[in-house]
Amino acid sequence: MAESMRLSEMAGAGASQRAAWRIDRLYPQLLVAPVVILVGVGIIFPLLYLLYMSFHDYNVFYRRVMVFNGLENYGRLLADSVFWKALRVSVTWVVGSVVPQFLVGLVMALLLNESFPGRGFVRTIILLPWVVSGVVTAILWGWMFDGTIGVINDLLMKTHFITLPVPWAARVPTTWVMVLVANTWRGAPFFAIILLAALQAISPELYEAATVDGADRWQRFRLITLPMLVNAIVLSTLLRAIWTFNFVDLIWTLTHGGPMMETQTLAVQVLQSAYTDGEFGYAAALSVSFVLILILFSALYWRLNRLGYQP
Amino acid sequence: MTAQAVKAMTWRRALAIYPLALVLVVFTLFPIYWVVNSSLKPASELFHFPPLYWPSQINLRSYISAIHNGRLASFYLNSMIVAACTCFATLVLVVFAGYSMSRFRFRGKGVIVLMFLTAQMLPAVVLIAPLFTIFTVLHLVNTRWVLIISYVISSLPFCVLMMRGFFDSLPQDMEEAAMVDGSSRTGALFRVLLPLALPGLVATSIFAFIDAWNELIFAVMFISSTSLQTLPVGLNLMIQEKRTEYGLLLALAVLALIPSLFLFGYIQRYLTSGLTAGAVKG
Repeated sequence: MAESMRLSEMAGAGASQRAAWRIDRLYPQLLVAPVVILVGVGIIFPLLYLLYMSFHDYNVFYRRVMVFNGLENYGRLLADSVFWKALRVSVTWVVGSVVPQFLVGLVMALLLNESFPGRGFVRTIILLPWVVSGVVTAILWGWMFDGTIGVINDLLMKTHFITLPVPWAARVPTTWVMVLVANTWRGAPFFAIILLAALQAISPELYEAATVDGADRWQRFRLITLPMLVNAIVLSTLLRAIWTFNFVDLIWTLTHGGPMMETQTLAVQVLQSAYTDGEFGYAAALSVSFVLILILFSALYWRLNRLGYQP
Repeated sequence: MTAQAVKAMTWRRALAIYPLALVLVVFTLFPIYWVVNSSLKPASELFHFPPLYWPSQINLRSYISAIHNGRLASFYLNSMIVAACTCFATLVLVVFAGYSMSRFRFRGKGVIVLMFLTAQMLPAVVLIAPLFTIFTVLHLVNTRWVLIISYVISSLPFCVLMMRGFFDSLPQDMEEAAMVDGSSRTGALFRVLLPLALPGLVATSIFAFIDAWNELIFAVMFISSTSLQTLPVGLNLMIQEKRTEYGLLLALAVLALIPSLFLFGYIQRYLTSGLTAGAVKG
C-alpha cells in the first residue's frame, strides 16, 4: 500500500492519480498473471479433459470419435494384469533408483562439502549427468552394456568377475541392473546438490563445539550432521521418488519396457497405450489412476514439508 | 551459506578425499569417454570384442557422415529452433513474474508457489492424450509451435521460482534510490535491477533451453513429420531402426551432448550456490 501511494505521488497530481492508484494496487498481481494463467490453463484444463476422456472409448487409430462407455475403461484397468504388473515394476524402478541415487549423492555431497584443491573441477565433473537427456543416457549405457561387444562385459572379464559375456538385455535381472545403474548415474547429482546445500547450512561452530567436547568424526556425523539433514533427506527423497515414478525417457529408449514388459512401469504403460496403441480412452483411465497415486504421494510431501524442521 | 573454513590438507585428509573424488569422476566421465572413443573408431574396429580403449587411428567419418546427412541435420536444427524460442519466451514471461514475487507481498503468493511446485510433479505422459486432442483441434499438431508452447508452460514453474531467487539475492536499495530520484517502478526495474540480474537471467534461460533440448515425450507424441522431428526423437528412432549404423548413432549422441555440456559449464556454479536448491528440478 505504501509503495502504491509513493508511486502515485510521484506520478503527479490530478485525475490521473486515481487511475494510477488502481493499476498500482493490482501491479504485482498483473505481473504474475500471465504465468499463472498459462500454467493454470496448461495443467488444469488438460487434466479435466483427461478425466472426461477416461469415460469414453476413444481410439485415435480406428475411430476418431469418442463414444461414452461409462466405467468400462476402469473395469478393464482393474482386470488388466499388465496394469498390476506395471505397478509392481514401478515400485522396483522407484526404490531401485532412488536408494542408490541417494547413497551416491550423499557421498558426493559429503565430498564436495570438504575444501580441497581441485574441488571446483571435481564438482563440475560429477554434477554433469544433470544435463544429459534420458535418451542420451540410454544410448551411453545401452552401448556400454551391450551383450556382445559392450565394454562392461570386457571390464568384468578382464577383472575375472565373469568368464563369459553377459547378455544384459536378454534376461530380466540383468536388464534391471543396466537400467538402474544408468538411472543412478543420471540422478545422483540431484541429491548431491540438495544435500550439499543442506550440509553447507550447518554452522561449523556446532562441529567445533562437539570436537571440544571430545566427539570423534563418526559421532559428529551421527549426532550433528544426520539430524540436521533429516528434513532435507526426507523431502528430497520423496520428491525424487515422485519424479522417478514419472520418468519415462530412459526406460522407453533403453528397453522399451522389455524384455517381456518386465521393465514396463506405469508411466511406460501410459505412453505405450497412448502413443503406440492410440488407445486414448484407456490411456486416460490409466493416467487418472496415475494421478491419484501422485496425489497420495504429493499430499505426503506437503504434509512432511509443513511439519519439517528448518535448521 | 556458511563459508567452509579452509582446513589444512593433511595426509589423512588427502587419503580420504582424493581416491573417492577419483572414483566419482571416473564413474561420471567413463560413459562419455567411451562414446567419444567409440565414435572416433573406423567401422572395422567398432564391433571388435574385446573393444579397443583408444581408436587405432582417429577417424572422423561418423561425424562427417552425420553432418552431411540431411535428416540428422534437420533433427539438430529443429531442436535448436525449438529450444531457442522456448528459452526466449520463457525468459520474457518469468522476469516479470519473478520480480513481482520477489519484491511485493500480495495475497495468493503462497498459493502460487504451491501451484508451481505441484505442477512440477505431473508427468508429461499423463498429459499427452488430452493435449494431443486439444492441439489437434487448434491445428497446432505437427508444428514447431506445439512444442514451444508445451515446453514454455512446462518450464514456467521452475524458472519463475529460480528468477525469484535471483531477485531475492539482490538488495532493494538501488531500485529505491532510483525511484526517489524520480524513476517509475518499471523504469527502476529495467534500468537498475535487470542489468544486475543478468547472470540470473542467462542461467534461467539456459535451464529452459536444456530442458527443451532434452525433451522426448511431447516431441514424440505431437510431431509426426520427419522434417520437424527433434533430436531426442531422432536418436530414439535411430536406435529402433538402424542397428548397424552404430557409429553414426554414437556420433550424433556426442553432437547432441555438446551444447548441453557447454551450457552446463555456465550454470553449474548456480546449482551449488543454493539458489536452485529451493526449486530444483530433475
